[in-house]
Amino acid sequence: MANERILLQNLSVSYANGRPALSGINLKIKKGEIVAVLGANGSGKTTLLYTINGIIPHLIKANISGSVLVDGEKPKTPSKMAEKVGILFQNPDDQIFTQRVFDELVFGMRNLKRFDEKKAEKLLRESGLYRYKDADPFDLSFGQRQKLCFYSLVAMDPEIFLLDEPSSSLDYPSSLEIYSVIKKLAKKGKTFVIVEHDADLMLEVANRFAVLKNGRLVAEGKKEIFKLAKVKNAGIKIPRGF
Amino acid sequence: MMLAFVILAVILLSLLPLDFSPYYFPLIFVLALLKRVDFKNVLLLAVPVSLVCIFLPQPVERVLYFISILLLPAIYMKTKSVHEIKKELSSLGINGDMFLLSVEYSKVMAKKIEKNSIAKKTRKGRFASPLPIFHFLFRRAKALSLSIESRGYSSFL
Repeated sequence: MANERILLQNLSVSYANGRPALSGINLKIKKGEIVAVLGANGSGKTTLLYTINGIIPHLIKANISGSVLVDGEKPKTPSKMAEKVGILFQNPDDQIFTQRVFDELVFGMRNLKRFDEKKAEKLLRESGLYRYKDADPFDLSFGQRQKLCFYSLVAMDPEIFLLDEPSSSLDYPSSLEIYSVIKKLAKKGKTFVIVEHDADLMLEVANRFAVLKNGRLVAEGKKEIFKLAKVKNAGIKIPRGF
Repeated sequence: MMLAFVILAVILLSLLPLDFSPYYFPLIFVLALLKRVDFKNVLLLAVPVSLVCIFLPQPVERVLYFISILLLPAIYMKTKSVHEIKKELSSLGINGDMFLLSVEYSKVMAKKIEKNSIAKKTRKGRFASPLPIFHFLFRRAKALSLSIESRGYSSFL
């Protein structure tokens, strides 16, 4: 279907050391959707993002069975996938690479030949990082670095965003700010897969939820899934009112 | 080929015995001149160090010796443009992009070592042990390469 951005069918992933990370995942994600992936530590959330992005198996060796389709195609190498898929890593320090905030923001833009100085400056202003434009990213606070990584992804303008705990070290206003940007982009047709621990926050943002437990998809659907006993036993914090 | 010369010079310098260390600096100076690298950089780096070295006690002189080994690559890096360096590395069969990435990354590494050292001191440690730092570096290099590739970077050499 033309509307389906991501299609996972019976997807199983196990790492080279034999450790199974995902098993039998079936998931369809449509254009403009915001899907929150929830689960306890080690439940396979990050592996799921890496598989969609092509990091697994192209950069991290793992055995994959079943199928992964992104816009109807198998994921290619991450550098080729960057044209339409952007991934935000859990730890900003694993992502920041340059010695200047501005250079970090435009790193992906330049690689994709989408460099636009005005757009970059606008994004820096929106993020509140404009005054640190020439600063070393490692002189920013951890939360500001996380924000910088998020905006450097927005600057690349991918169709699909894979976000691994984008607000884990942000204060509440900054989290709300990031999520309002996400909502705005989703309205424009961008698709989001967000791994997050804060189910309360995700309740305000996501259209759909997928809950993982030990590499298996326990449940997926609208917010009503939080009432299910199997979701309550998945090791996640259930939002208030469920 | 300038790069091959630099690599050869560094290997030769590191093989020479320590007793000859006062002569290394003028030697580098002459070698650098012969290869017509930027004279200003040679003057700024090599000459003052070589002059000072003659009057220094042996332990300090030996420390400077180790620095001197890196002097020529430093002059080279300062003199050549990024594109020229990439081209020369590529003709030696080295992936120039990744090499330059690792040079850039060394600055991040220096910061990490500094932070690690502070963290150790707060727990009454004396200095940063190199082992966790190396462990961290390998992990970090791996994570960083994922990040770079997933932002559209691919080597073009």
